[in-house]
This record gives sequence, structure tokens and C-alpha cells, in this order.
Amino acid sequence: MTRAGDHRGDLRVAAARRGDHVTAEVLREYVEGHLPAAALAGVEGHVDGCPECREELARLSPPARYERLWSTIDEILDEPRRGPAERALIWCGVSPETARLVAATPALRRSWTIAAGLVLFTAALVARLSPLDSPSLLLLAISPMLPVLGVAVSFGRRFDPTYEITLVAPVHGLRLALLRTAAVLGVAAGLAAAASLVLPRSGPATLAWLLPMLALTLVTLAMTARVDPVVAAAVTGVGWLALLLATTHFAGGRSLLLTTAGQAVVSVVAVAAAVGLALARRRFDQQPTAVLTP
Amino acid sequence: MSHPAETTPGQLVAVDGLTLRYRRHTALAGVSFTAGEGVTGLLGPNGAGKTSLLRILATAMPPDSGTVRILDTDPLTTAGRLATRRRMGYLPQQPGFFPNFTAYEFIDYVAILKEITDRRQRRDETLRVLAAVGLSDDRGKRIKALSGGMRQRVALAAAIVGDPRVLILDEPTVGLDPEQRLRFRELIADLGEGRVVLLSTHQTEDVSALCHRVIVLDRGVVRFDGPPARLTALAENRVWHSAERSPQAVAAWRTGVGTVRNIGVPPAAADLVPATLEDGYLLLLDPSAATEVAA
Repeated sequence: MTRAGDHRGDLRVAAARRGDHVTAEVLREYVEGHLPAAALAGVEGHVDGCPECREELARLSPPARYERLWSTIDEILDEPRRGPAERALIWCGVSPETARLVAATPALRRSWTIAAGLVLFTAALVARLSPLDSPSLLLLAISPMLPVLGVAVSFGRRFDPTYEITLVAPVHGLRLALLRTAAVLGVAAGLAAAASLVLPRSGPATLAWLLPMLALTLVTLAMTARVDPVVAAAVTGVGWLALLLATTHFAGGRSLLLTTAGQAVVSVVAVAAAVGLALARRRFDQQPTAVLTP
Repeated sequence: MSHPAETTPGQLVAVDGLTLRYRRHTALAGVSFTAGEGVTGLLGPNGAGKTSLLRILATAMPPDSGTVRILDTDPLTTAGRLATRRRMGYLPQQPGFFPNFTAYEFIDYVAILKEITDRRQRRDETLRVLAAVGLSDDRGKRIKALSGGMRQRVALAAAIVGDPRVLILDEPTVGLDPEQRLRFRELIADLGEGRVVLLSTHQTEDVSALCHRVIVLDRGVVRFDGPPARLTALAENRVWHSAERSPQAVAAWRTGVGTVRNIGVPPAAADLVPATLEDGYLLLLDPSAATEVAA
């Protein structure tokens, strides 16, 4: 019954899309709630834009029911459209409201994610084809910077069009900053992990970017409590490059950061940044005084 | 050190001794005033400190010194800031949008930012504020397809989500054509009933049309605080129409009917004409006019 009904529904939708009016019989089935699910969207879409069919629907519907039907149609048409990131978050159990707040993060826009992915996979390919003994180095240098850039474009008035409205919202503060940072970090880590698969197997060193990524993101976020996010990202980036240059022998493909001791130091930096972030949590309530401009 | 600002019945916003500096530039140099229900206009030239003052009141940034009380809470403390944000609406000078969102989606998003997490309640509130600004029929349009005036109405709708008791509007009529401006004034006048509305503008017509009270800010200092009629009265008996320009006038310009409107010192053979709020404002801000203003 359902399959045959759905098929009939498809034909009716096709007719409605061709511009034909919906027949009285279909409208009656719609009013009585007997129309197959597959036909609902097509009929509602047509009726919404067709005054004649709306009039016919009003004639066939009892007044209260008609009002209710319109209200339902309105609600369906108004329903916010959700992108892939938002749907994925809801699928993971995040509430639709929190998913909406996170999905609005500027650094989660499709263009930024695609660009970050391209950078990483290019780096991984270059590393794979290069004569370096340790191909993980290039990924180690680049991967941690991606969420840092993401933080830079997610919390400043330069990149977030709703910065001012968000700044004075009751939900603004460290919670929102952490939610958005976690989303950016999650996407960047996922992309970097996928790019790592391109590399030849080199043991745990393949994932040596993970701790620096976390540490640099936390350092940048902690700095945004006092300075503009772009400045924070730039300082972190320069510091990271300096650290890489000081601890790495590129020709030999060796870096202290790939060793257990190096990773332990990076962990300490991550913990220190997390503590700094917790101490500065109240500063996330407002625009930092240091970045004020007239 | 200034005394803490206190609100008395009818005064829902109280500001005392606010100062703010941006490096070498003084934005606010000890601003004090109180405001109650109705529309209070903040008038002043560009750079007078209006936006800085409103951003502090909107809890977007802290002052260097001074005290603020809004609805009996102190927004300069963490708890008071949250309480203020829950009862305040803010339309920034340059409201930003997600251009691909529809008007409905954007207001729904702002409602989430304002902690309306119940889906049904959020829908009702979104529809209510869109209806209040006359955008019910356009709520499905993407914001990038809306005119400047309609976008400004979306921003106003966002500001009134949650029915805030205090509404802070930073130059809401800037960039609107005359018809849109009239429509906007109607909306703001309605919103002023039963609410505190603080409205910054550099258009004296907005103040004349909307405000029961006007505060003139100039270089971070309150130069006038009182009813618009009293600001107009500053120019009484000091506005003249004549055939020629008066060299000593504070301001003088040829009008559409061919005569010269002189403010301040009259030229020879001039006719005294009724003053407007703009005349009073120009006299107040002109240092050579040396107008005595009683606070």
C-alpha cells in the first residue's frame, strides 16, 4: 500500500512541479491526512506559491484545521536550513541550538575547510615525494597552524559579521569560545589525520603534530583574552616557526619535537595555556581593552 | 573618585563619571546622566563619544573609570553584566549579518544567542519580532537580497528579541532614505512606550521627532541634558532671515527660498524667525557662541 501510494504521490508532485494545479481529490487527501509522505513536500510547495490552489484548499478545509495546516506549512518552510557540519553535530548528539551556534563559526565555512584540506594534502604529498628521511616534518610544521588561523578568523570583529551582536549576548563568554575552538580543532585534526594517511609509515612520528596543534590552539585562544585574535595568531605562528627552526635539523630530518622529550615539553605548554585560559575566563565576556579602537 | 551611580524610581539607567581613553585620544571625559522610560537621544558630532558610551552601556567593553547602573544592576561586574544582557537589546552602529541566512534564520539564531532554547518559544518570539518590524512577509528572503532599510529592520528585530526593558540603538537611521527613516521613527517611537530607549544620532530631525529628552555630547563631555524644546530655546531670538549673510553669524546659509538664514548675530535689516532644534544645537557646539547652558 505504502509503495503504491508513494508512487502515486510522486506523480502528483511531478504534476505540481510542471505547473499544473493540484486536483481537488489530492487536496482532499491532504486535508484528511491521507496523502503519502513522499507527496507532501511537492503539494505544500505548490500550494504555497499558487493562490488558486490555496483558495481551493481553504474551501475544502474546516477553518480551524485550515489555520493549523497553514501554520504547519509555514513552520516547515521557515525551518532553518542546516549545513553538513551542523547535521553532523546533531547526529553526534549535540543539541540543535548548540549545533547552530557552533556551525556559525566563521572558520567552519566550507571554503575555509576546503582550503585547509588542500593545504594539508598538498603538504602530505610533497612530504611523501621528498627525499627527507622524516616525512612527518612538513606536516608537523603546517598542521598545528591551521586551527590557529581558524581561531584568528573566528573571534575577531574583522571576520565575524555578527561580532558585535554576539559580544553582548548572554551566551557570550568562554563557553562559546571553547565550543567554537573545539569545532575548529576537531575539523583541523580530522583533516590532518586524513593527510597523515598519505605519508609513508614512520611510526608514532606520523601523529607528532597532534600535541603541538592542541598547544598552539590553546596558546592562541588564551592570548585572545588580551589581544586581537589576528595578533595572537601571528605571534603564535612566529613563535612556532622559531621553535621549529631552533629544534630541527631539516637536512637530516631530525627534530627534537619528534622525540618523547620534545612532545613532553609541548604538553607542558598546552597545560600552561589551559591554566592561563581558565584564569583569564572573565576577560572573554567583553572586548579586551587592549584591542579597543575608537 | 566618583560616587557610585544610583537609580531612583523612574531612572532606569544611571551613569556617573564615565571616562575612556584610546591611547592618546580621550573618548569620554567624565560623562554622567540618568535616563528613564521613553526615547532619550544622544546627539553629537562624529567622534563625540556617542558610540563609545553606548558600547559601554551595552556591555561590549568596560570604561576606564566611572560607574553604571542599569535596571538596578551593575553591568561592570560579572553577574551584573549577565543580568543586564538578559534585559537589554542592542543595535550596533554597523550591524552584521550572515548574508546567506534568511531573515527568519537570523532572528532564530539571535534568539539562541539570547538563551531562548525552547523551540516553540523561539518560533513564537521570532515571528513576534519580525511582525513588529513589518517583515513577516519577507522572513523567507535571504538577507543579502534585502534592501538597506529592510536589513536595518532585521537588525532592530534582533535587538528586540526577548522583549528587553532597555534598548540601545546606535545611529539606527543612518543610510536610510526619507521614507524608510519615517517608518523607522514610527517603530522606535512605539518601542519607547514602557521601555528605556537610548538612541544615538547626529540628525537633529530624529531627536525632534522622537525624543522626550536629549543629551548633547561633544568631545567626550555632556554639553546639554534636557528636553528638546529647551535645546531649541537656546536659539530663540537668535535666528534671522535676511538678504545678505551676516559676517558675525555662528552659521549662515542661503535657503531654498533665496533668503539667508543667520544664526547668532543678526545682519542689518533682518527678520527674526522661529528657531529650530538644529539652530540650538549649532549654537551650543560653536565655541564662539559662548552659550550658557544650565544643566
